Amino acid sequence: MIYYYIPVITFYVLLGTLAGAILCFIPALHIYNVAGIAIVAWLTARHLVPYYAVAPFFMSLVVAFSFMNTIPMTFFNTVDESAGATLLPSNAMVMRGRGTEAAIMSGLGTLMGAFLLIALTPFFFYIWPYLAVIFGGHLHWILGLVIVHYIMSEWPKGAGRGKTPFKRWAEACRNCFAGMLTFFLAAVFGLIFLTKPILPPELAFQNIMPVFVGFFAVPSIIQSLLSKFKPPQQYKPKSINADWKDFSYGLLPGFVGGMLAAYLPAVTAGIGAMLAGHTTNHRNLDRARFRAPLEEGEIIHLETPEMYYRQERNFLIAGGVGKILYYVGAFLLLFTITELTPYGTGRGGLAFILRPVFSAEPGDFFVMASTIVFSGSIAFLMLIKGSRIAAEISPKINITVMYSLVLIALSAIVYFIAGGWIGIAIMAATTCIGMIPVFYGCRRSHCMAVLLVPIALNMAGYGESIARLLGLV
Amino acid sequence: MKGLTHFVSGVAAATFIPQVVRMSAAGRMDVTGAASSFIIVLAGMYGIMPDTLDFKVGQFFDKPDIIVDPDPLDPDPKEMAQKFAEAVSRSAREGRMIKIQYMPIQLGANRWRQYLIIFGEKEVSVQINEVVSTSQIPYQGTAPDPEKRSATVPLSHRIKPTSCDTDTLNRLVRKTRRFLKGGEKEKTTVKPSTIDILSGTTFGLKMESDGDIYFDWLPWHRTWSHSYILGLMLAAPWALAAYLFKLDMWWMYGVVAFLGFAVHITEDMTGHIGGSLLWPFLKPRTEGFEMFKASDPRTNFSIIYAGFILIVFNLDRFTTNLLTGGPESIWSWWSFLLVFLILPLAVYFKIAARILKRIKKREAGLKFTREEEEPDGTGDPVID
Repeated sequence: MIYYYIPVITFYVLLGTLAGAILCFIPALHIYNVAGIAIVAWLTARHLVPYYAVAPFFMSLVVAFSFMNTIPMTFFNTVDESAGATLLPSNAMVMRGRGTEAAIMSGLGTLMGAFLLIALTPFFFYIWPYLAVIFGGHLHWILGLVIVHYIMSEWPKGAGRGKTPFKRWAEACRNCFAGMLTFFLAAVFGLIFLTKPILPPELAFQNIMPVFVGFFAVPSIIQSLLSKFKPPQQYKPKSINADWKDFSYGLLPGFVGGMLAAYLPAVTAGIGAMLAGHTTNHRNLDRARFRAPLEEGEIIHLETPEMYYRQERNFLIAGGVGKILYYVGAFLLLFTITELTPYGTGRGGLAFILRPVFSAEPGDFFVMASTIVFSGSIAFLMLIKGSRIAAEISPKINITVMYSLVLIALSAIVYFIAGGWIGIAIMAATTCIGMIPVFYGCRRSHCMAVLLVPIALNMAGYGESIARLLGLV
Repeated sequence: MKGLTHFVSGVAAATFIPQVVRMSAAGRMDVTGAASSFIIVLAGMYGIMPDTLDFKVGQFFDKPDIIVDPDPLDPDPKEMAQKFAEAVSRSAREGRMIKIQYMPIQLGANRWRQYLIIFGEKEVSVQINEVVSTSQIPYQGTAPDPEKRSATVPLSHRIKPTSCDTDTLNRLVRKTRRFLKGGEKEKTTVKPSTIDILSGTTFGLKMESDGDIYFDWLPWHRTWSHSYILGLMLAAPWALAAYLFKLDMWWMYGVVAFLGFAVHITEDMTGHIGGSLLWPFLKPRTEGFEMFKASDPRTNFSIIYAGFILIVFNLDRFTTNLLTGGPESIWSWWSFLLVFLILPLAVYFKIAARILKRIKKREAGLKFTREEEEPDGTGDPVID
């Protein structure tokens, strides 16, 4: 019997890999949106996909997406919230003509993350369930801590110029104020939106789509249009400038950030990467050194340690690791069925969407692990080829036309599968909030308050009281 | 230490109070006193509060006497060095602390002109370096022409990194430090400063009784904001609010907030700068015990890791009893701490020591003698 299942599952894994690779080219879409589009597609053709192939199909879709979205993110400057964490280094490398290297480095990090997920199997079955149960009753205040740290750890970016102390303070802290405003508006929006959903129950999983498109995708496109981003001619490298040390340094922050995002609801890879970066940054082990001038006019020799340069590569690699741990790991945890966790510990958009139509069974974990390796290997090869093609064509593309078309496409997607004109209105409203970080240079992830705050309050059991206080029920 | 280190430490400290853990547990849990409280968040919030007060408020309200804001297109190292020399002279002449602030040179969203200030005993040098990114990576080939690159200016008085006019508390800390460290080398040179990204830096210069000028780095940092008294004052409103809202154990809200604040200040005392522990009653800043460098990643990482393990340990022993076997099972406690805390940290320090050995080996070939300090007590700039 098993010999019959293997080719069918393999077929659907290949199909899922292809679908993920195609969907990632709708730039700046969040993984939740992609999962939503995929489920709509699946719902229309559910009689064609056998039940036992559903999970491998979706798993391979997410695996391929986490590899292949590196291409639009690197070459076309279009990022979702999670990928935003790695935007600066890859942007800088593209502007130096090293986009292919950036994409492959990030892809290698993702591949390493895929194998890490498999290597972590004993951890998932023997330690993780204990942690999940211990923290399970405390998630509301843990999310509260994430919120507080997130807001308080945004330091002033201005130099503090001004004639009076108040003006100095206002000038320096503009980004902090803008961050708090973004967070507050997104949180209020989330409380209203999750209490009063716009879509009918059968499409409830698409409810969040216009919100995410408005918060992340549209501002990202507008930013690229405003900045007149134009990639220069790209090199065709035969190797990448990274060694094993880079990969070993990138592993820990990627693991910490990815697991935080995979486990904590509404904590995305961007927020996870920020926390992990604060925890694991070891740059200061090797300090900048210099030799003082021996006579006036002599140039002081400043030695910038290799660790400073390595940071750029670590960022990309850790981003790749964290991305797959978040996208794929959150789904994989649905299959860690143990005595302590009989329903698994899966989180994330896809786990949420699939729960009503699919229930994990003991033993599925190993099918999923095989799917990750198989689909990941194919997706990585596609990434190598795809990034070379993207490097070739990106300087020739009219970016303004491309972004304009993408904007139209996104609006059409929202219109047709996420609520018609109401969906468009929601997208427009969230775009206004999502533009605050673009103009004031605060963290884009503040928009995640749309989920963080309502989820934290609901977990603590205060959601209804707050909704009543706001006159929503 | 980094903001996150203080934050996690504050939370870990709060979880040692059984009532706090139990009242924080979700109401659906089978735990006596479970009330879905957010009280632990106060420990984290107050754990990061002293630096928030300094870096988001204090530094901008502390008015410098001299501001050096170089021309982004044509920075003049001679003029920049002369301003410092002028501050030294003014301090000697006026007999009070003169604060001089050096502003960053921002050239674009991700481009900053880096410059170095190097202090000799009776001279100061300024060197203009390459343009760097927000990650402090230099862009090759952007250094200015050699004739516009550096300048050295003599100072009217000697500058020194350690104050000689100290109060009783400072003398006590110095004695304890000598006792703990078995004697210490006298610091004679002031560490250099690099100015590049985000905000600049401020130096305080004060004439002392021995006729030399005491050099105080970031004179606004760890002063009033790092006081146990202020911690009490800021924690009290939480207890009062909890009392007014008729919450159970209302006083605990004040205790948890103060605990977070106090852990931060105490951790900072293990570093170099210290804090004004009893402000407003005793205003001068008390030196730290100099056990760790605040920016040392080993200290920060090991404290965060230990904090996380202790949080798991406390949550389990006060609520779920899965790993630690409950309050009676002392052996389970020790085996848990051995396996998850002591052994992993031992492995970590072994790896860190190997990396450092490699760095030192490389340095031996470079013969570069002095090192750069990164700002103390701030979070790393986050790029997102």
